[in-house]
Amino acid sequence: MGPLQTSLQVLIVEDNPSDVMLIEMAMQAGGFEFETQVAVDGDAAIDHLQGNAGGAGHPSPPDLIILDLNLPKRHGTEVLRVIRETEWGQRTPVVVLSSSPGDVIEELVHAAHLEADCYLTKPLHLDEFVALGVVIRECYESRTGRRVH
Amino acid sequence: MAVIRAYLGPYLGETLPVVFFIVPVILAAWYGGLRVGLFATAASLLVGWLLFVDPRFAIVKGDLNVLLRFTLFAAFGAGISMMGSRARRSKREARRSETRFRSTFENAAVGMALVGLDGRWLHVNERLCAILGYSAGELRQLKVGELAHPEDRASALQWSRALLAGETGGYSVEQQYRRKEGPWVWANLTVSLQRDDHGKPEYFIAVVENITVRKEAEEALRVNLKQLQATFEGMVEPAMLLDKDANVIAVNSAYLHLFDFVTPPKAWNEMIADVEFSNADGSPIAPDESPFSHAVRGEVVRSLEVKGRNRKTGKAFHILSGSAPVRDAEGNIAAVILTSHDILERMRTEQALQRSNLVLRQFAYAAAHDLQEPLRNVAISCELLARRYAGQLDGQADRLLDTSIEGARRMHRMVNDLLDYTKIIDPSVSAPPLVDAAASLAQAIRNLEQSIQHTEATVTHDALPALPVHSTHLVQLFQNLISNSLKYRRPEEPPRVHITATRDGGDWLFAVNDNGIGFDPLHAERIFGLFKRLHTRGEYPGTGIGLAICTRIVEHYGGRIWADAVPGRGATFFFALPAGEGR
Repeated sequence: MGPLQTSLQVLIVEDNPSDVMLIEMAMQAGGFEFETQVAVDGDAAIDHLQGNAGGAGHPSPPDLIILDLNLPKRHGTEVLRVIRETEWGQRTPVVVLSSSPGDVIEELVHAAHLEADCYLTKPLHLDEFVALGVVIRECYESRTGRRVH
Repeated sequence: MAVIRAYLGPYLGETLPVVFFIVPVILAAWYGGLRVGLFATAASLLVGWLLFVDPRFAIVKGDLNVLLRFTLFAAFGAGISMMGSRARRSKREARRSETRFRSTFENAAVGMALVGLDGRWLHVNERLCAILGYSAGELRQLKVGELAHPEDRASALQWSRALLAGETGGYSVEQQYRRKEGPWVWANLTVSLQRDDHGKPEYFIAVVENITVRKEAEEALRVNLKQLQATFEGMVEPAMLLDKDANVIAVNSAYLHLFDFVTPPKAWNEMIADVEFSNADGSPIAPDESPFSHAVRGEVVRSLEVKGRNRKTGKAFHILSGSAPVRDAEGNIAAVILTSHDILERMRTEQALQRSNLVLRQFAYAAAHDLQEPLRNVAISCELLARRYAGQLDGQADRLLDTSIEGARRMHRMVNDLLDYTKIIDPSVSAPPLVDAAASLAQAIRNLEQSIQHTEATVTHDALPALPVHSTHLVQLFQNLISNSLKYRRPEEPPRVHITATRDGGDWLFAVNDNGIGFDPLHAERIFGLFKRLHTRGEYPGTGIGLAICTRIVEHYGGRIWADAVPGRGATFFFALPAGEGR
């Protein structure tokens, strides 16, 4: 998180490539300048995070994490637990984005005694999906107090 | 006297007076007793002394020999008088004793008889005659054996022989005797043997007590018990009757089977020696909390859930145990009835059903969630495709893409609705309190506020009751039905919806009436099916879940829902819900 860094480091934990593409579209529409890392399952996400947590030889930890819950190998809540157990992970905004209705997502996360910063349901309409970029930006800004370029 | 002296004197000499007087003295002593005997002796001595001993009429006489004789006579007279007195006394006593015996014999409250060694009635009292219905004369013509019940004769004979042989001093048996008329009489017979001074048997003494009433009561009791046992045996439910000391009076085979007993236990102690009882949560039952203890205290237990197993055979049971006291005519607790309703199978079925329901819910939930993602992918991918290649495809391809998108979205909605449908009833939620239907209706109207404003609808209602339904369910019912009315309105006039409730037996009957397009009554049942619709999606949107959810809610409470309509003249939806204790 150097001060000279211009673009936001975003980790997208998502097994569905078309959803990764849609998330990137949405974030562009939301006015983000960002670089993405993609983890396609729970294990990959945890490996990635623990590698980052070690620090050496890796780029800085992500500035924002977009997390799906229904992941292969490890459930999204387990990934969230690993994130929240790290020192930086407690400050990093995590947006949970899943197919289930919003209240169901929140219930799942709370049932695991965890807390995300934002709970969003993947919409059925393309326009609505793209509009999520703004919601994610607002979430990020309110959480970190920083403004997105 | 002079004549006697003159004739007999020469033969008897000085002995004459003694011999002459001895006979009257003996007679007097024998029949008159001590005093008369002594008087006769004294009189004889005086008369003999004065008249027969010379010199006559002289008090003092010189003959020593004569004096000695008179002395002997006096001694003899006194002796014979004393003997006579004693004999009379013993005779009197014997007579008195006999009178006493006769009086006892005749007036005894029990039948008594002297029976000859040959078995003949020698002497019978009135009571015995009354018991047997024969006169004394008739009885004396009969032998005892002729009146005894054929079944009892052999044993009676054996007892008599034992008595005669001196093997026993007496015996007592309960036997039946044939009366002259009428039914057999039950008697308690006590017999002893009278022997003479030499030990030779003389006759039997029989005491006969009429015990017919007791025997009949015993028999009635036995019949009652048999009937009770038969009733018990005929019962499907396991049952046991215990006296207040916990001895088993009756038990049916259903009870034995339930607790895996082959032979009926004699007492409750035998039961608990082999069977382990515990409360539903597995904790032991406190001694004063057992169904038996409750009943013995006069309390009725209706259904106490009890679990346990037979320690010997290992057979497990799960029962609803009931018990009640059985009181006698005075109201005292005489017995306790225990019943057991086997719920092992029911509990297993319930558990299986619960597991099955859980699995089904999980399945529905998982299916709904997991189906949504690919559907969303299809919808959005098609949309992306259509947008990216807009204008590059021909009109037919555009239409196909639109259909795909719409199809995926519709299926997504249906999956969502299906999820709602499965979630609407949560079997884990307990019985609801009374809820005010008017308040639920108000909530439903608030939820539909936008549609109501948009369609300029009016929703009115009569007085509505309170009833035991979860308010969310009642709100959902009203909301879905009113929403239907708004959706299927006639274009030319704003919708009017009116809700009423009337009491119909144990139910509250609700009616939601509208002025909409109605429907053909032919379809009145079809519309309540899941995803069933009467119109094309073009005409009226929706998946067809609303009425299916209403049906599910109403049926959850054991109610009914149906509809009546005339095409173009509005529709009325009815639903009946149990009123419970509410009014």
